[in-house]
Amino acid sequence: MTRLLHSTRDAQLAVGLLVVLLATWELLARLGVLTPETAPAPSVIASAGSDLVAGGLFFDVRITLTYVLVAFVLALVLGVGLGLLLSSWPLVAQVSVGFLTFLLSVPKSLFLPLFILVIGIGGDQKIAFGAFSSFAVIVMATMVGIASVDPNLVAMARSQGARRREVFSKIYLRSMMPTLLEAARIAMILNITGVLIAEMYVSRQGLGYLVNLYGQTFQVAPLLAVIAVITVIGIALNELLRWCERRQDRWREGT
Amino acid sequence: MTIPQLNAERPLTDEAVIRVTGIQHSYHTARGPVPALENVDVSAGPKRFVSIVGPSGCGKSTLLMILAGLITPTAGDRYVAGAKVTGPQPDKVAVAFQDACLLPWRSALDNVAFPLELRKDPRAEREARGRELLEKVGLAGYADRYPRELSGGMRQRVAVARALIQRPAVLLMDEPFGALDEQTRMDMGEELLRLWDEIHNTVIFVTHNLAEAVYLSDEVIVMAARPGRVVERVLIDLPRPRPVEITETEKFLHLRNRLWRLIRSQE
Repeated sequence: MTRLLHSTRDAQLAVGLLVVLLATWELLARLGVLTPETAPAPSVIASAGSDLVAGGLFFDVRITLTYVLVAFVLALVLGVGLGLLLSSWPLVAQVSVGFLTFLLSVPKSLFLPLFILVIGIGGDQKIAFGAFSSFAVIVMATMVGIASVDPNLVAMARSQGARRREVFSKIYLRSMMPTLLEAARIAMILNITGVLIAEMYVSRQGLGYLVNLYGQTFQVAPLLAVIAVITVIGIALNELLRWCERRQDRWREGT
Repeated sequence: MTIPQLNAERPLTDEAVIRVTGIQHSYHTARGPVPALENVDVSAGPKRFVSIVGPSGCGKSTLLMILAGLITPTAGDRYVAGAKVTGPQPDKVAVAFQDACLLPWRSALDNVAFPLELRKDPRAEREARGRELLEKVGLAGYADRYPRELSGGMRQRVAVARALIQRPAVLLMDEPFGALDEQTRMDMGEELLRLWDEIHNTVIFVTHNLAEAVYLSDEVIVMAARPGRVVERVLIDLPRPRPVEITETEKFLHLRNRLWRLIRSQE
């Protein structure tokens, strides 16, 4: 897979570009070209951010991060499980792939009110909605992954005495790993979106709640500070999964 | 009490290491069952090198998978070392597949040691034995390479090393050198014979290359297609060891031509 930043030189360029952008923004804000109400200077956003941290921002970070991670594990376990189950019957698999493609194209946020009616407005609803937003991708990837497993490798393993469980873990799961990890990365993005939307819709805590609060009360500097924090979390989780992908993908890269 | 008679006529299959009898096999298709094998009996005695040849569609690969216990035939019995068995017998019967079938995410060493890992042997032991086998097939320096970093011939050698690691009494080979170029194929055949001289187990070798079958084997089973059946069993009484030059002798060519005529006459 291609890496975003190929070398330290690329990384230096990227950081340099970011600094230039922020400096220009700062300059334009100070010169009064930008309206401070809608586009406050980076320094103003930073100080709003440090005020938020002093006011207990990490409490909300922890809440949202917990929801995101629990929802992710839930989506992964249920998605892989359902994908395996559906793949056991060729006809069911064929029908359900069509159904899943349909489900993938429907905006999940439409179902948010339903989740509130059925589950309520607590943390479990945020987790359920996050998992719901991401699990179809995992089911789909599992089914595609299974279909792509080389039957000759399965025959080879069986001839060497592999039992069902060993065939599953050493051939199926391992063959599916690249597809699954790629899907996990997309699922994580959908999952974060799901949890944040659920928090923005109804809640009294979490980063989504803060975004909604500062947006509604027209406090743009803390709003942008929270968005910056969410961006960092999103990038960190994405990079973590990419690191996993690269680690298990080493055999593909040449020497 | 009966006294066992010497030289009494008895079926060859009595001392067979592996034997299938009365094999019928059909494939299920939308248009109903298609017969792939009809009334096939095949056996191989200890330390025999037996090849199976025949036109494509004669079911020789299917037959090999039945011998391996990977396909359950519609009817018929299978005996390994005298016992009637179903399913794979990893400690007695090993298979080298058509396209090497290496796990692409594992190094050559980990591929070779895979059967021992399934047997739950300690790591140190399986690595030592894996290296020993890699050395046997001439790949001592390639233990850490991934399959994609190896040539086609090297991959097939890794597959043979993996098949031999459990010291099987029977090695089944399904056109193992079919995907290789002619030169590599001959080299691999020569090397296989050298290796076989050392381990000297029973080999059943499926191929569509008649010269290869004659060069390697003690006997060649000729099959015909539609439905797949055994036509004849040809004894290859060429002396061993067999240098490559033997392929130019009159006897070799005679045997090869005989196989060719047998296959031609079935069409």
